[in-house]
Amino acid sequence: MSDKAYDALIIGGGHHGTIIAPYLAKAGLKVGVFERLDHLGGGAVTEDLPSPGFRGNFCAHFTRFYGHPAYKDFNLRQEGLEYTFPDTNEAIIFDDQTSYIAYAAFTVVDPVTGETKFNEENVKKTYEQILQFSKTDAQTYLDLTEKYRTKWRAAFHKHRYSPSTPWGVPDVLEELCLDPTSGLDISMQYMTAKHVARYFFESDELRILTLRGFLTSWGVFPDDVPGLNIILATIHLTLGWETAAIAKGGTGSITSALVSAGKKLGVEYHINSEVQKLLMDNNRATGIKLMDGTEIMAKQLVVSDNASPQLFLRLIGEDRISQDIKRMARTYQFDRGELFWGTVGVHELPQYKAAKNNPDVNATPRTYFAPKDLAFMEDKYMHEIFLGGMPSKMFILTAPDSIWDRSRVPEGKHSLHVEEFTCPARIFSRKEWKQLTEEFVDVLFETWAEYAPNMTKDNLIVQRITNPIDIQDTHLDMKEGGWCEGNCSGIQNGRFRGTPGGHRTPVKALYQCSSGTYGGPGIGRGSSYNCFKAIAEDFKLPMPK
Amino acid sequence: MKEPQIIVCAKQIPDPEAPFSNVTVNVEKKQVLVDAPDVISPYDENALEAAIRIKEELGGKITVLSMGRKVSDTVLRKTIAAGADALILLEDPLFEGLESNSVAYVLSCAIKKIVAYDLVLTGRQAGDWDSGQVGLILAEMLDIPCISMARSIKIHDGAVVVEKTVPVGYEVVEAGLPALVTVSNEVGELRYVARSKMLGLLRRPMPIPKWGLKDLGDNAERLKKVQLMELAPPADMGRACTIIEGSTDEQAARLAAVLKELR
Amino acid sequence: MSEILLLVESKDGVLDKKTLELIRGASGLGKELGIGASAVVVGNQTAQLAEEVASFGLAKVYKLEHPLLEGFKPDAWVGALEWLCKQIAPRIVLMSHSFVGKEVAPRLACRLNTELTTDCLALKIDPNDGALVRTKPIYGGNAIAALRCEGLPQMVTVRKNAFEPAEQVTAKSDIFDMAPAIDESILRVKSIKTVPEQVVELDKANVVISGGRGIVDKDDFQMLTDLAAAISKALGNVVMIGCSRPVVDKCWMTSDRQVGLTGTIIAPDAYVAVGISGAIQHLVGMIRSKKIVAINTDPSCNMFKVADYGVVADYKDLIPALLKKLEG
Repeated sequence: MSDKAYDALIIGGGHHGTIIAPYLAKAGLKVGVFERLDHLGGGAVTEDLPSPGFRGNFCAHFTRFYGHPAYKDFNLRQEGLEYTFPDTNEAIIFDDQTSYIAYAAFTVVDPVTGETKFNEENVKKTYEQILQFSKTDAQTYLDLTEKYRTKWRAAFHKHRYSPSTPWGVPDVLEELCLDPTSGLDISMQYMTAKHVARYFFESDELRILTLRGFLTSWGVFPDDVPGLNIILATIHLTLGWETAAIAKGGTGSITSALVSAGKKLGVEYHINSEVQKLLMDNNRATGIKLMDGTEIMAKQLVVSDNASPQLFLRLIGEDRISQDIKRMARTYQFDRGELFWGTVGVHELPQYKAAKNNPDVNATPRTYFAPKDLAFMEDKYMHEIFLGGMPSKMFILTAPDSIWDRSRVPEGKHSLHVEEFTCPARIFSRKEWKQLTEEFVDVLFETWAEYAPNMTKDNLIVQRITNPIDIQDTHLDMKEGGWCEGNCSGIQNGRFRGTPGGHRTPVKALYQCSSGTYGGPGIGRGSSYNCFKAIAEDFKLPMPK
Repeated sequence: MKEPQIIVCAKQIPDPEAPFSNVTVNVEKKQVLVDAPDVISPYDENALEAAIRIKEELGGKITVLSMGRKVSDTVLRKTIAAGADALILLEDPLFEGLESNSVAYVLSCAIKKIVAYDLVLTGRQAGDWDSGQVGLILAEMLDIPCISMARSIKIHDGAVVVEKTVPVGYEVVEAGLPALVTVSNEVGELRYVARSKMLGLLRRPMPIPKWGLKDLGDNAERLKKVQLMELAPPADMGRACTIIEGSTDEQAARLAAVLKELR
Repeated sequence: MSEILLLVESKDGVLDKKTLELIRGASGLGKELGIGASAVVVGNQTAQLAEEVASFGLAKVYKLEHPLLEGFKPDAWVGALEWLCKQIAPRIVLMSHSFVGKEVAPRLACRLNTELTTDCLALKIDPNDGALVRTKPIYGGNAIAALRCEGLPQMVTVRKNAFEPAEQVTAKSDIFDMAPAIDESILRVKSIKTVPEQVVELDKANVVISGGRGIVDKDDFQMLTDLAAAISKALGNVVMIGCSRPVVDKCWMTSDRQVGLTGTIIAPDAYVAVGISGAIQHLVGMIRSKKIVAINTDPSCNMFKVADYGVVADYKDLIPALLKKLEG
């Protein structure tokens, strides 16, 4: 006997649950979202971090949601999602106080629609930045920028927001490789990140930024195999093509805008409602059972915003899946994307020594500071992290968002997000993680002060740095505490991510939309949108434009 | 006096601070599975800290002994980083699931093999079974003085002087060397080793002797297993927790109301 | 092999409640096995205590008397009990899982070449062969094990509250004087002095406020003290400060304030856990509190699973605000 019924049930109100819900509702379905935690959005949340008076992003931070179809489809700007677009994009400062800034080659001309325009002036600025280090790389920048403008950009966008093609049918990026003038080659899908950095750039500076960029955008270490889409995304980061974007009020604004849009379309959101089991009849998903025993019926379909292990092993159960799916779900790899991540509240912004020659490094949305030691990054960085939790040389990323979004800090103060990679949660005990995190904060400020002398602990008001245990404990699909819901390199990237069938599962009327499926992790990536397309096709719903 | 030779017995156990959702009781197989990294049992860390403090004062050598079916030197190298000088792993498939007398027997064989020692330190109990037997039995088997529940340990004039926690406060006791002392947590937390130091140590090749039963007298009939008849999960301790939400001010107001209701 | 022997403990001449529980337990087991239950009183002058013990319906009471047994000297007690056990060859030996029992039982078991199970919650007799089956929590209470052991006597230490305390009967047990063959040579540890300390008795508090590893600075315990004062003032009851193990490890608090398996086990009207994630060894010590309030930044920590009220907050923000509300 059911307690309630919807046309479509969504298990998990994470980022992708909140994206797919309004799409299903707009297609005419009655939609119910069931979330275990007391808030929606999964990694797309903003909280009182590092302490009340400040606002900071607990998980996801770097977002360009204005590029997601939902931004226009649901008029999210009207729903309160407002972006600011600084001209500076990426910067890296090295320990010899040289630095590099990438200025956006495409800048937004209409913040409402997110429409962009090619910005030749910025291209020239970036070119000159690279010229400090290598003439060849500066030329490569111009060459790749042209390829990006004419070929890669459209393909990349299409790739992200189209369902995967079956094995043997080239997808849009694979097709691009067949074009001899594209600069891409099919063999690149098997290159390691280290190989890619060496292939495209000759200077240590751009190679280092590329390798660190592979981590920032996909949690890919130098010896991992990123695949074509991640290669493009990372070169894109190194060269800073698309403008940086600061969501006013933090990443949580994306969630509130999506939920606001969803509510207008009649979506019902249930928080503190943990799903215990998927109800099935004759291998067809028919509903869900909540922890409190309530049963909710799905008249048409169920969408799971969970990674494969949770969906198949817990919600469905090992006795109801095939041996192959069981094996895949059990061996799903989590070991990437673990961070020391957090927010520091400070009296004043860092004043980098490098600003003397390159003033904009003081105000760039993504600012790295790192030793100019390519050999270390290539060969030792990951090994030290897995051995000791922290590398002996830090490659720190900071994000001084309060420059552009004053709503996140008390009057006169500033806050910055900080990031460095670490190892899976299981490697250390709880006590050790606590000790490591304390040490990380000490080392962070010692290192920071070498680049920006005012960044001593005297400048610190309050900090909150999370470690993988904090993330693992609160997010069931982020086992080992990585932000990326499972390793996304190698076979866990592209069409092979998750379990066979992609968004369609072996259970009838059950779909997967999480970042553990094709599309991968990160705010605004395509898994839920593509999942909706698969559903629309199966149920003959109107397809989004 | 001569520099003391100290032996610290350290057990490797699953992180006792792991949340209970990470602990599964397999009733059928009579196994407890803990999905958590291994650590050195907390009281054994206290014992090591006590040893390091003695060494800081008097010099000497600290040897850490750890025993099990499979012991991870990665976990135990931390003892070297903190200040121990040598690590000996007592590893043998036969060492799995032994009852306390047998564990103490194996340790006593290893300690006798080391020959020269002044002080043996163990934690007051291990953080997995919390039996609190092995240290005391080991002293009996080695036939040396035994002091339990130390909160401070000093060596002078060939004797060990211990402040021992007792129900009314503490008792100062003294014994000739060699002696065995079981250590309680009032001694203090094991010093933190900075990661940079730890990294260097983890990378460096280090001779770590491994002794199996064959190296320790090969007396298999002395080893007895714990006889587990049944294993059950505990009664549910959970309560329905009302989470007090809102701004800090609202949370404080509601919590104050809850506390005032206690009157 | 004809009797069950239990060790009597007392404090300042008063029979320990845990001993009364052991008497009940021993009597029950004895009945089941059809053998007698006896008690041994250890000390220098034990007549009065032995008389008292003799009024609980036991078969025998042994007075194990010797000048060296004055006070609790583990070496002497172990030696004397070893001597007694070799004389009377008990089938089962029971002790409380107390300060005395924890030290004496393992050493005695070793000398008698038998196996011991400590901290048992329950005991029963295996109907097949009469062996003593011991129930013991392991992994801090995350699992409950039923065990059996080789060797005679069958030995255990028993956690408090495992049995109801025994009641007095009119019949008196026979009292036997036993003079153990021990001398100075068995004392290998010399007691220099005992230093009494002011010991906090957390089990006397109505409300206990405990801090854990989440308390980042020793000085922050002042906030807890202020909170204790405010609650005490508002409610007019006894509020004490406790802590979890890591705080004692850091030497910020003495061990008498430690709540948990190896500290004090309490059941106050209310327990406020600040920055305590809730290692199971800690939970064992406070789970029977009538109301539990958890304050922690980590919403998924164990403490919230056992609490009645939870506040996901940083104590440094919450407690000052709470103080204002309590005072207002």
